[in-house]
Amino acid sequence: MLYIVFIEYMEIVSIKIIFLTFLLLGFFFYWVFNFITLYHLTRFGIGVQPKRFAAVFLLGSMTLFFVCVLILANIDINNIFNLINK
Amino acid sequence: MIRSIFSIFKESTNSFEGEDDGEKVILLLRRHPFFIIVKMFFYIILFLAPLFLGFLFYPVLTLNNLSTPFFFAVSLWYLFVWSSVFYSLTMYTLDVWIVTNKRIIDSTQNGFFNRTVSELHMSRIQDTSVQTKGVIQTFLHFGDVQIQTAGTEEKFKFLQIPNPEKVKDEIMKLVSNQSNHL
Repeated sequence: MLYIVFIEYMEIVSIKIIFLTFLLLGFFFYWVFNFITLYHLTRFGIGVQPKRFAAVFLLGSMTLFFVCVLILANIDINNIFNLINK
Repeated sequence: MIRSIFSIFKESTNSFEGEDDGEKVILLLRRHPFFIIVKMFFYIILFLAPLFLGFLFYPVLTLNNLSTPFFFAVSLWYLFVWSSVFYSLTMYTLDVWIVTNKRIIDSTQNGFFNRTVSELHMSRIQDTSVQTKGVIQTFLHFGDVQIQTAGTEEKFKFLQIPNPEKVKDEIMKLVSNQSNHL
């Protein structure tokens, strides 16, 4: 009995870990891409326009990222698994 | 201090990498904003798509307690759209033609790590011509400026720039000033 509970618990935990790992990788690539964009705008951009774009882009990216993380913190992953198992 | 930091968003000398001593930027040209506005319309559709889907599936999402995962998926989608919008804007801003008092520089950006920079000295310019093709270009006052060089070199082209006639006149003025100095 205990063994079955443990296996079920591990299944959910491992799926959670895989989900979070992919998410972290996605966020990592998102920030690498953003860094490259900002670098190009600030280093190679000529005139005022690229600097304005860089500032708006950075502010928007940070805001969206924090909104995303806040929503992620409120997700009940078990609820999704229950729905899938139904 | 704060004012000097914010001044980079208001004024610029239009300096660029590889600028010579005493070189002054006369014209900084980019493609007509029409091209980036067309792309932005596409991104607006991408922006509105999740709102439309949310409106359509709202009863199903609330019934199954899936509204939070849906909002999370939407926020991930907006991260992607936001980055794509600024990728297009970056490519648009970095694709420039610089006319200085000494030379013309063509900087073409085809992706982040694919950049071509070519230059042409004023003394090599022989002739310039303007080409405005089609209804949109005629009404929105943009077109191509072709610069003919001495010798058998490839023509220098400014593509889809606003007010091509004015640009042509300015270049010819600079060329005649240059030849007067020689």
